[in-house]
Amino acid sequence: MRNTTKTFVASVGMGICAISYAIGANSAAGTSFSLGALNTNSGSANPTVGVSDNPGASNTSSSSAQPSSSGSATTKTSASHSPKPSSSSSAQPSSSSSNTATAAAKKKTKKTTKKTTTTGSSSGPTPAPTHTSSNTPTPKPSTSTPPPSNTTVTKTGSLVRETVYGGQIQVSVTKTNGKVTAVDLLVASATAGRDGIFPYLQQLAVSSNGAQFNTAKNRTGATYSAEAFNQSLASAMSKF
Amino acid sequence: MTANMRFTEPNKKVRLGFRKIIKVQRGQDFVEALAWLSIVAVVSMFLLDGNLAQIKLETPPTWLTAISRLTALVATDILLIHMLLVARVPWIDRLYGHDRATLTHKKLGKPILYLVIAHFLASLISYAITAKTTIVNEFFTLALHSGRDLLWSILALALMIVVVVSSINIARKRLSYETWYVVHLLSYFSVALAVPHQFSTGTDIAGKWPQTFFWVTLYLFVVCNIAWFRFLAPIVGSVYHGFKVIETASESSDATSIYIGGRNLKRVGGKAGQFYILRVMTGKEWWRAHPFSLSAAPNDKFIRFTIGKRGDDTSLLQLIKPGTRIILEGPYGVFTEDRRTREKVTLIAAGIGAPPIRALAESMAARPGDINIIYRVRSESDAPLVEELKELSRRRGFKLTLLEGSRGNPKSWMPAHPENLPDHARLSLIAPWVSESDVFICGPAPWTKTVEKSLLRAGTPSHQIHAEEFAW
Repeated sequence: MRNTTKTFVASVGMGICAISYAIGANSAAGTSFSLGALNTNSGSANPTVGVSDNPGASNTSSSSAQPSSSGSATTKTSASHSPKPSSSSSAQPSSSSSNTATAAAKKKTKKTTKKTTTTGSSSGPTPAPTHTSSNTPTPKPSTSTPPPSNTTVTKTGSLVRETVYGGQIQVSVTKTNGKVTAVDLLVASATAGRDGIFPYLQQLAVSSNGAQFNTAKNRTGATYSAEAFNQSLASAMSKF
Repeated sequence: MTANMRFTEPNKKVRLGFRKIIKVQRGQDFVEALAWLSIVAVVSMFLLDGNLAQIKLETPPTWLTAISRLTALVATDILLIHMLLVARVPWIDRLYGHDRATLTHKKLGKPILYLVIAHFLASLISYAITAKTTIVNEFFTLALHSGRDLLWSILALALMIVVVVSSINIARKRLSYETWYVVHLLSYFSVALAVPHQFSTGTDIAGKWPQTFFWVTLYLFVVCNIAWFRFLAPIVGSVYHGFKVIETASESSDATSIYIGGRNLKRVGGKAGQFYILRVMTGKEWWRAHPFSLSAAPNDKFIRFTIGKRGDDTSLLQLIKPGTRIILEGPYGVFTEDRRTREKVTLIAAGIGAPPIRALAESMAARPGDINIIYRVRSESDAPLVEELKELSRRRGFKLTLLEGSRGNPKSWMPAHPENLPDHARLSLIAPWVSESDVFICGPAPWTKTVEKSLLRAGTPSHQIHAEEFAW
């Protein structure tokens, strides 16, 4: 190459790189999560490393503090929760414990999903609402007493296979008074280590009231697990 | 022998001067700029993703993933260029010549492998850290439990290592050409096996349609070029022309001329000084290809190659029977009058390097005295094409100097001189205007190097020295 061309190509190339870096940095400003970052720091029970742009980020940190108790006590219905502030009650079983619960829960959920039954809270005074009723105008709020914790509805999402790595994910969503209070893992067999993302995704889903994780900005190292989680979550949300 | 000589009319005119060389340089710059910009494009694919801002030194997976993606993108891009270089694409050949393209291809092989290994290790380690397992464990998880795409890509890497190892110099010396060739064919499988995981797991490609489009375009461009120019065009052309051996003639004790005939030879389009890759279509020989230079200027009656006896294959070729079908790939090379810039020309040949020199001497546009031929031979009586060169020089008024005998010292390319005059001084005596002429050299590679050295010392600028290396 002649020198003039070299200079020209070099400057054009650097220009293109600079522009694309700027665009990339801009669009990635909203990106939040890195599985690697989470995992290397997970010993300190602080999963919010790297979370920057997450509305519920501030109050999620407490949630991981109580992973095992709820996980082992309630296998699939999270309706037995006492009324708590929603964000903290979203504490999830850690991925490992949910995995052990998986096998048992699997058969049962298979059946229940088919029928799309609602697993109402057995302890609560209110029976499950009618199947066809839409989510917001539940029969209860119209009555005199407004106990927020009474209308607790759990719906189970479909079992989703990861596109590439072949793990399986199934979530159930619990709504109390029309607000998502818990997202539980019924099946969570991600490829080794990738299930580290699930607690984060669960928190995110609860804090954003059932919205999906933005996979377009996903840089987690658990792309397919996150996508599968999203799908299962979406199918559960669509059943309300 | 003289009765057998068939000469073609020389070219009527030639464009001289440096302007056409500038045109070639412009073309080279364009192609090289495209190549560099394709690398810029893949780097910008990486940057567009915005991952760079997320890198934190204290968390290795973030930067390991970045390394893995960047090396994968750059390696694949260079790999495609690397393959294009040996696809025998005419627009590359016309600009660089087959030899330079092949040499660049050779140089790129190892760096690509290093980049791919870096990609492999970086992603493996980052996954292992993420999954909190050992690297070995993670390797088996990825290979066996994560879909077929990754398993295939691991196979592709293994094949690539085999191909590169078989091509390093030490291995090339031990392996026969045929073994090496068969192993080298595996590289196509290697490249193909690596494709699926790029589209299913490639962070910068999967699910992003502009990037996917660009990536597919790159691949298709290279695949189409290879499919057509490397495989289909030679077959289609040879079937169309129906190349067959017409006759063979012994030129010396170790050289034979093969005359090849066919339909519409005018449209074959070769030039004196170019070479073809010849495939003899017999049961045992069809898969072995041999490069040979034209030993007579192209004409509409025959294509002639003069083949020296060097390896076992070339000695088999001496026994070829008239009527044998031939597949010709080519013409290739820039060892032609197109690169001539000066009125005066010096042609220097040694031994079986004579054929292209003979063809150039026949076809170059020149007045008597313009061309000076130097022919280095072991003995005049047993030198291929020497009679033809003599006859040509006589008819066209060229000066032919035969340099006969064994050389004086190991660094010399000339026979011994009684006063031990250095080569460049003797060269200036033989060809007084050698510094103002275009010099075409054809001979064994080390010999050619020494000739080039003495030409530079005699004052010939390097852009006027033309030599084709046998790069295989």
